[in-house]
Amino acid sequence: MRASGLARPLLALLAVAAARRWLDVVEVRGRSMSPALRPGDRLLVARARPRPGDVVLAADPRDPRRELIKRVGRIDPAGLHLHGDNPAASTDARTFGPVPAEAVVWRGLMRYWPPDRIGLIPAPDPDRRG
Amino acid sequence: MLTLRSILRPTRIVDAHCDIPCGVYDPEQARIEAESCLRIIEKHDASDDKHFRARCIHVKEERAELVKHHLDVLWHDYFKPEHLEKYPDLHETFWKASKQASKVKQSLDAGAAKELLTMIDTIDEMWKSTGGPEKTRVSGRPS
Repeated sequence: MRASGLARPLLALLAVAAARRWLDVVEVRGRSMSPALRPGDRLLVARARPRPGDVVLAADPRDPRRELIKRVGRIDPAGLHLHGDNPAASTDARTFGPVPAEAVVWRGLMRYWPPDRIGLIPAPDPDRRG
Repeated sequence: MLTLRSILRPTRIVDAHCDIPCGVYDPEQARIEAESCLRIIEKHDASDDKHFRARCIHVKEERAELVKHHLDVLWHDYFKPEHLEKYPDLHETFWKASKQASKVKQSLDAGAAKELLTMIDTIDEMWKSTGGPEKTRVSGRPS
């Protein structure tokens, strides 16, 4: 059976919708992940189990309507300790403590916008780690 | 229509944030400072004492600056993208109110101060209808 003219875009749409369960795109606001991530950077994120050093998304434990982007520091039985790369400009585990591991489902894969910042998310500058 | 642009448009904003949101907001804070501006302008106009009039101008400018500060905090910290969907003119409203506060700072026009109060009341309605009083004020104050 041959797909009609309409079926192809429809299938593509379904594919993206299905993919959005596993891949998504987000925009960064704020400076706490600078210089790896800057305000306005757009990222491809994927569902993945977080490991130390990953950049992840997590609901703010103090206001679940807000979604945070931070780097995973230590992982212990209490949960994940999330930190900004730029500790002087970050509210993170130092304030709100560890977050449960199951609260973190998205991991940052790469920056795709702006064009001059396309690339993998770099590791934090070792001199600036808090 | 499925386009590359639509696929690449971010579905949400994520916060690499740096603040200590206490979560307490109320346009009343801006209104009290704006009422203060109006009363000071009236007192200024009623006085012949040039030193008192100079003090009025000085204090009124401080209060008008505080109006701008409180409006900014509401705008940046309280209101969220879903509120913008409900009130598409939200940015315009805040922008105009901030400009009006600048006008009150620069002038001795009681009419401008009254207009500012009206604008703050519009923002107050937005705050109330988005659940502001229940979500952002600490309950239990004796009425």
